[in-house]
Amino acid sequence: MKRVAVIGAGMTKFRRRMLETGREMSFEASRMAMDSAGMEIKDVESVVLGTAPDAFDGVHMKGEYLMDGAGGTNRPYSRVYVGGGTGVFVPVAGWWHVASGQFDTCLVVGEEKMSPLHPHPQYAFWSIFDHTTERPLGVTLLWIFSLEMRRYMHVHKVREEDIALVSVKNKGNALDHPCAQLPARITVDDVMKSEPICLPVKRLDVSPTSDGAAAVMLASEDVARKYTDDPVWIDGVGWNVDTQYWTNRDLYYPRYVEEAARMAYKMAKIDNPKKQIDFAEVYDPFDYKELHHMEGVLLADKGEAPKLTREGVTQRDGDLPINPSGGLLGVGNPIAAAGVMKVCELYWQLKGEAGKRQVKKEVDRGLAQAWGDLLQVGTVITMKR
Amino acid sequence: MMAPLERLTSVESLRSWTDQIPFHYEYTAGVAGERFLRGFKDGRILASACEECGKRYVPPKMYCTDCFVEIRKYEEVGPAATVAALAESYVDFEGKALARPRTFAFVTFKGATGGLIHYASGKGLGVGSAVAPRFREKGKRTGTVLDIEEFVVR
Ligand SMILES: [Zn+2]
Repeated sequence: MKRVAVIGAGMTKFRRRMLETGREMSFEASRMAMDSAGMEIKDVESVVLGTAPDAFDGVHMKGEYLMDGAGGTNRPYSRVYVGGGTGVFVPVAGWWHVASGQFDTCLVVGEEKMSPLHPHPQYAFWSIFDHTTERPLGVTLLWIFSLEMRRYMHVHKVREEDIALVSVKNKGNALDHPCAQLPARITVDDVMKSEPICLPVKRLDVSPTSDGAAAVMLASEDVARKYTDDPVWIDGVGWNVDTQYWTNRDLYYPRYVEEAARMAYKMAKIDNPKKQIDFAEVYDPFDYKELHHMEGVLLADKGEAPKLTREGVTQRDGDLPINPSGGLLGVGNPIAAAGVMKVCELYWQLKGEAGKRQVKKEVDRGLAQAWGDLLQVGTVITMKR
Repeated sequence: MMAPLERLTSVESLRSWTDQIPFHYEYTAGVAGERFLRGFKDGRILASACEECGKRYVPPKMYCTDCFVEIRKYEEVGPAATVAALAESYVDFEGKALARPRTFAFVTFKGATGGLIHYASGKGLGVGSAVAPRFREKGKRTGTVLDIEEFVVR
């Protein structure tokens, strides 16, 4: 198996609504990743693109539609899709293209254009619920997130105010991200008093819907060394899917995320993640999800994440910085692009190129994780200097 | 229970459900698309021209798929065009007979890659015919491909 390096990264701004088409955003992110690697299109041997439901962009067979903007024309090209977990799954798929020895380079692109869909992108999920027991009730995604948040709060006796701290931190971190959609200096009180959507979920607990694209360039060790003296390595990948019956698992804990993390840790020979992972970009479409996922990837004990957050451990200058980018809550949530953005952040942090977002401590290894489908998929990647 | 082999006529008897997904779309034309559609309002067909390889794209793209660089240059093509292929449609989208058959052409422009599919008519219309777009009256153009009424034999 070949060692796989990340040698470039790029992303568009994340915005509520962009003039650029999905293809055009894909081009911009791809071109930036290639420029950052010092590569031209002739150097790209394969392309993997990730994008969530066709229903968002309103283009059926979106993978084919987006292809030429991602440099896929006349190349081995494929689209991968595992719901909201897609963004971290695309670089995993890119990894196997190169690790297998089949290709020396792979361009990895995540795209989402959610703004075309009206009345609201949430309508794309209209038909994912069970049509006999759930749809007649008018279930929305917010309902199940709220149930999950409440279950988590109940089992660990977590206060809503402690969960709100995640939103305050991430929106604050995003103030230093040039691509961010919703950076803000807010307080716990602002979150608590924000519009109730489906309690306990309130407006400021939730990430926005967005348009955007992000990309990274992967290369085999031999090729990577021709382009850079200090490549960043992908040293662990993992993914796991739980049953589609979300009713048949205890919502307080994402065991599928744990399984994905354990797979990545085994590959990376990580036996003590709390010691061996210096910072993480865990999936935060909702503030409680950051806590849920910190526990799922074993960076916190069950129920411990709110305490670490309250004590400042997860701040950029803390012992375990979480979502130094600003996460989905601050940078934005164009689904598949948001996950790739997290992998871009690992790259920039590990290279020391994160500018004002650079975490205070010395970092050698980071983790990115995404989650999706019907509360059922976990995708994990670890990267090392 | 066997799956119903015929289209359902009485859903009540089968304990089945009807539902529809209630959404609609508002698309952006994009960077290159915006230029293209604004061109129609002026009665012009625009191509984007790659400054690296010289390739001209109709409809315009904001990037060259060969060189994979951004394209910022736009140039007018036509109005002279050539019919590359023709088709005559006798039924509409739902398969209903049209009052009179409608002819579609794929037309190409000299020096450009790609082309347009559009309605076409005129005496002696065939593959290889020289055609040109007939635009709507200026005040009635809205910035869509329908600002061209059809391509007619020159
Ligand atoms: Zn070119």
